[in-house]
Amino acid sequence: MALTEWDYEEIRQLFARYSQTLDLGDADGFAACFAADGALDTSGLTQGPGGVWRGQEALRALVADLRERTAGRVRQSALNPLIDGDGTTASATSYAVVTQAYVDGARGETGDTASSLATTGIFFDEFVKVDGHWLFALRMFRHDGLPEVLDLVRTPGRVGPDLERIA
Amino acid sequence: MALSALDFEEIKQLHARYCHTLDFGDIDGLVSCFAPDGRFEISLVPGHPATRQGADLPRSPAGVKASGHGRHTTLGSIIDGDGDSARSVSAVMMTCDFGPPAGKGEVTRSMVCATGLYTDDMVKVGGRWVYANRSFGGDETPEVVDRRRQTPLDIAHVDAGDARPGLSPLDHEAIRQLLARYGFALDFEDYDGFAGCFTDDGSIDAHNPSDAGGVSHAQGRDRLRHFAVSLRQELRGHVRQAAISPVIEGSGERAQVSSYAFVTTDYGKAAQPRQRRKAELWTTGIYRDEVVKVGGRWLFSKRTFRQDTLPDVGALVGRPAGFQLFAG
Repeated sequence: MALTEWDYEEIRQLFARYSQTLDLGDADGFAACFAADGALDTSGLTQGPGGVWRGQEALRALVADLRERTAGRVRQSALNPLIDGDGTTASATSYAVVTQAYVDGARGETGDTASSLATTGIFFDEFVKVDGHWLFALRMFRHDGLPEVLDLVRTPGRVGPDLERIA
Repeated sequence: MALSALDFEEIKQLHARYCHTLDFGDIDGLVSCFAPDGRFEISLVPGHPATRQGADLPRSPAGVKASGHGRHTTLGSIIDGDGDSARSVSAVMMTCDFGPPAGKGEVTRSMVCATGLYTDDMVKVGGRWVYANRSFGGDETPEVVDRRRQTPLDIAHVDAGDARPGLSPLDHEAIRQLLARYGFALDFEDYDGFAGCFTDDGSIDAHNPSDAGGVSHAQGRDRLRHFAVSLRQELRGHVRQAAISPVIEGSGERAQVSSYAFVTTDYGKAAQPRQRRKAELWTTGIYRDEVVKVGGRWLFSKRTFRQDTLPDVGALVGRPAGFQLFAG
């Protein structure tokens, strides 16, 4: 069964909730974006807490860790989401855009900007529908410029994480 | 027949597919985004648009061999049309990365290279939305700036129909397009269009230290119009404001929205500080909005904005994410 307009919208709302709960340090809200055994795989991170965070407790701990590191000044969004799936499972590939606000009145290289682009990358997502609502089963982040992202060049039409490769 | 929520979604999926196939060199996928006689037009050199059509599409500037290091990211779209044809205007940001970290302790980095505008005509062919004509202009080119300045947006507000008990997917989409419309109207000095994003007694309360004065409050359409006219004279036409990652909750005729402001500038031709880049990120912040549905149209009743460096935003950290407006 094809995804309905509600399926797409719920997945878009899930992206937004993920961003705002993680960036503003709402650990419970963030963990609630994931299925009970859902996982976030940040093992491609070149800075910060890289690894696989599986289960509600681990996901909550990640938020506390990030809050210490970023003090709420980092914003990450999933844009350009390509979403594919049926009524029970779905996948998406999105562009991650990560910004950081300068602290203490500092300004960027041109002397006039208040935030900078910290990094970009790709989110690879698998979703599962639990009690009628879409949740992350697996979210992977990989920086742009890393070999696993460059490998996507001329690999047509793949949406979602390459689970065989990860296994 | 008006566009359905699924039509809007399929058009946004088309925009996303275009970006992914372009950036990752999937030429067949890119061509499949266009109708068989579809046209692509690009203005990179002022006054000299390049056009490719039909079988020539793979040779278009967009079909150049992708390195995998460039990204086209849509920051907002407004869309209208009927069941068979549609039009949209989208703000897009181009970024590039610098490859794997150079050594131990180094991190990956990306930068904003440019921003621009896609203007599209789409048709439904075999049940699938494709581009009949896609046109791109860099924000620093006269094709974008001069043609659009002080020109009313020719894309209508989404008609989300009568109020229902809960929010429908069409309500969500109409609210998302309201956020995008606010940016387009302000950036291109469509002052009446800007004021028309608010209810009659709608208000804005914006704290942005980058703006002269830093604090702006306006209520009512006349004052909102004045607010838009008074913003940053020196950057007219060269700032792009988007609201991304919106969380939306509400009932049939009233909703709350929390979103991220994402503001870029191309500085204007005369003031480009770095020739390598044509634009850069200017500021980020948080919008907290109350929106209401009036005659099928979603409008801001209260819009509040705080730049990310301000204490009001810091005070949100560590609390349950929510929709509370910033206090004036």
